[in-house]
Amino acid sequence: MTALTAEDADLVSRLRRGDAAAARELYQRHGGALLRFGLAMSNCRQTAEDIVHDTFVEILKHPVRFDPTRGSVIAYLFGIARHRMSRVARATLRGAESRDDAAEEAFDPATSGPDSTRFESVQDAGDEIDRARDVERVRSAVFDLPRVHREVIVLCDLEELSYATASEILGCPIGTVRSRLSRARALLASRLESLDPPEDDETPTELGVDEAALSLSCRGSLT
Amino acid sequence: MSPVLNDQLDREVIRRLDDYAESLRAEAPSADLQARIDASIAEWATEHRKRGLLRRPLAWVVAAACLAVIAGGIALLAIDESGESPGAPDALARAPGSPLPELSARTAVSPLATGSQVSLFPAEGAVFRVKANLASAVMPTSANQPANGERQYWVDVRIANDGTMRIMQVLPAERGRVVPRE
Repeated sequence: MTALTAEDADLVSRLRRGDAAAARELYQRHGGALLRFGLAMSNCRQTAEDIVHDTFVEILKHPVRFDPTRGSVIAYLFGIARHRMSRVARATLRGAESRDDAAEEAFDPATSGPDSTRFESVQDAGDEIDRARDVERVRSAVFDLPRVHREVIVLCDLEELSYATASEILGCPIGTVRSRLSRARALLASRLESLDPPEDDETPTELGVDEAALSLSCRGSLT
Repeated sequence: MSPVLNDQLDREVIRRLDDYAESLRAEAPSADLQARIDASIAEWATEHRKRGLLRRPLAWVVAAACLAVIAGGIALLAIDESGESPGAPDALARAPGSPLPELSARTAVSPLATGSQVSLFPAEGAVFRVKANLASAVMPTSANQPANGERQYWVDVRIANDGTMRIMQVLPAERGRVVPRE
């Protein structure tokens, strides 16, 4: 057990005694990572924040469910978040007609998440615009991946968690994580290729195409 | 067709994912989320404190009840033992007498319960030597017996601690030690 996971386990044991400071520290440590996971998985800030909130409420209510012999606190938290995300995904599928159809719709800045303001602020610098567009394409491509491949990309490539931790979160052997990651990267490359504009095409890709998908996916957020 | 990933493509994908990861790292929890988390933690802490307060007196009540039960049990045992102690000698004194009517018409516990006559085995039981008089009109009498045909015997009776009584031996009084007559 590393020093970090030992400290996390200590925080959870303090939670069992009702230590509010330990709860805040746990959120400070892992809230950001869970939010990023939620954002990448749901493509919706509101959903991501709901998941972060629900995950922490879950561990506050039932800290005894965490068993340090079965894995790290971060894996346990991601496991809760992943479970919540699956519920959101099911609700989104029921609520949304089709994500592909939504991608065809025009981008409306008024209905987009907070990301739009961030990207608006960099539109002046050409390089930054190109980079932002590329990030948007990657974000869209990641979001288009099947869930099992998306989560392995998010955990291993975006959050840079170890294969061991990812296998704890996903509940599968490390070998499966590796093979899924390899397959996920291949799928992602294929999708990026289809999303990338042709070399001679100067017309910029519509920035908010994926934002419409985002807002659509938000309809099925946690209730 | 299954997509194929070569090293160059893999590096390119990872580079672009790094850019995406960097943009994700710039994302911070909103003030709304922070407020919700703070509120949830405060609510949870309050509930935990309430549960702790409720739990603590209950624990004390349970402990006090346990102590009361234990103390009561000890007291009852003590009373029971003190009530039995004075009665024990009576029982021991009475016990040797009870089988005697079966043995003879007239029996009595020897008034001289000296160390040689009474053996005590605290762990198992006690042995009493009881003098018994047997009178019979047809009983042959020796020269040194009383003329009314009465004979005397020493009866060793062992009373075990489980309440059973056993006659160990019966000795004619004239063969054993001379017993003073009342």
